[in-house]
Amino acid sequence: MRARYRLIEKFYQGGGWFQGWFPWGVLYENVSGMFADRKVLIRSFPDDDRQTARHMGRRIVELEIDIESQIELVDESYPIRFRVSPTIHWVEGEDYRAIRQRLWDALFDAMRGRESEKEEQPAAPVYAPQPTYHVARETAENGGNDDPELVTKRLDN
Amino acid sequence: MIALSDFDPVVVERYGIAEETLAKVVRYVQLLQGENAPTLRDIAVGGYYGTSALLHEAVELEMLLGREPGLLQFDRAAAIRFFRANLDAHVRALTEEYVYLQATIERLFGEQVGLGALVMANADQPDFEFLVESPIHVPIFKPTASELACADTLVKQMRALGREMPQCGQGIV
Repeated sequence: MRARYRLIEKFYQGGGWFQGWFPWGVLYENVSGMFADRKVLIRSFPDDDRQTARHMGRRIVELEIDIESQIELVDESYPIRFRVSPTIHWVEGEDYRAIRQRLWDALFDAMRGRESEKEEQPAAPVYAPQPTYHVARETAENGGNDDPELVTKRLDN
Repeated sequence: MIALSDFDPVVVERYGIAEETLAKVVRYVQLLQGENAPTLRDIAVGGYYGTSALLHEAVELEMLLGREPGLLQFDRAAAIRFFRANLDAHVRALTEEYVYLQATIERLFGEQVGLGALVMANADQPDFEFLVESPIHVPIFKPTASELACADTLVKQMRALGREMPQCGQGIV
């Protein structure tokens, strides 16, 4: 079993060096055998509120968001900013539980990577929140490249 | 402005929630979610719904403070990192929150709703799967569409009651 996923980042404010875009979750293809009305699901750190999960879940269903969609997970009026990385990765595992574990590991890896990046940097200037970006993947039609190499392969060790 | 009197007195007594607990919960939620923490809006609803949100945070915080008494003095990054390293506290808090919601809905509206339906209606798929995967044995099943619709309506009705806390059967809108 395999599933494609994209990293979701959240804009954190007012936390010293912990300010800016940080990994918050992953958007992944629904290979759960449940939630038939959703093409993608979310695995995220649960430090957010109930409303955010409901808001994203509703949009995933209503807008029929899939893993390549160029649609934002929250609408413009939503007070918390999220963005979905354009890079599509994939994981594989013997079952859905293993897929979920790989996704969790990938999220932690991304978070640790981002934290070390930040810690290594000297005091950085504080920037205003940037608009979310939502390019899913360029296609041959719009000048991009559909080379499968663009899809990062993540293997279980 | 919220006060302890805005919440279900049974829960306040059973869990030993004091004004100090409330202040600590506010500080904790702001550490995790920022000054305008959306969860504080859920708590500020008061009544039974606000109690379920408060109960979640109080249970979670108590577990975390048991492991790290200095948590509330952490900066935001450290607090978030500590929380993410102790997610069993979140799972335990989810369990307490939804068992309370389930029992209160049954008492208030006379409806039996599954935990899975309630979690999906109130917090959607991520928390549903957290509970399914947790080592805590709770009877959680994927709800049918009609169970989910029912749970959604009941949670909204409970939230709409605000700080009113009618007794058995008086909450039906």
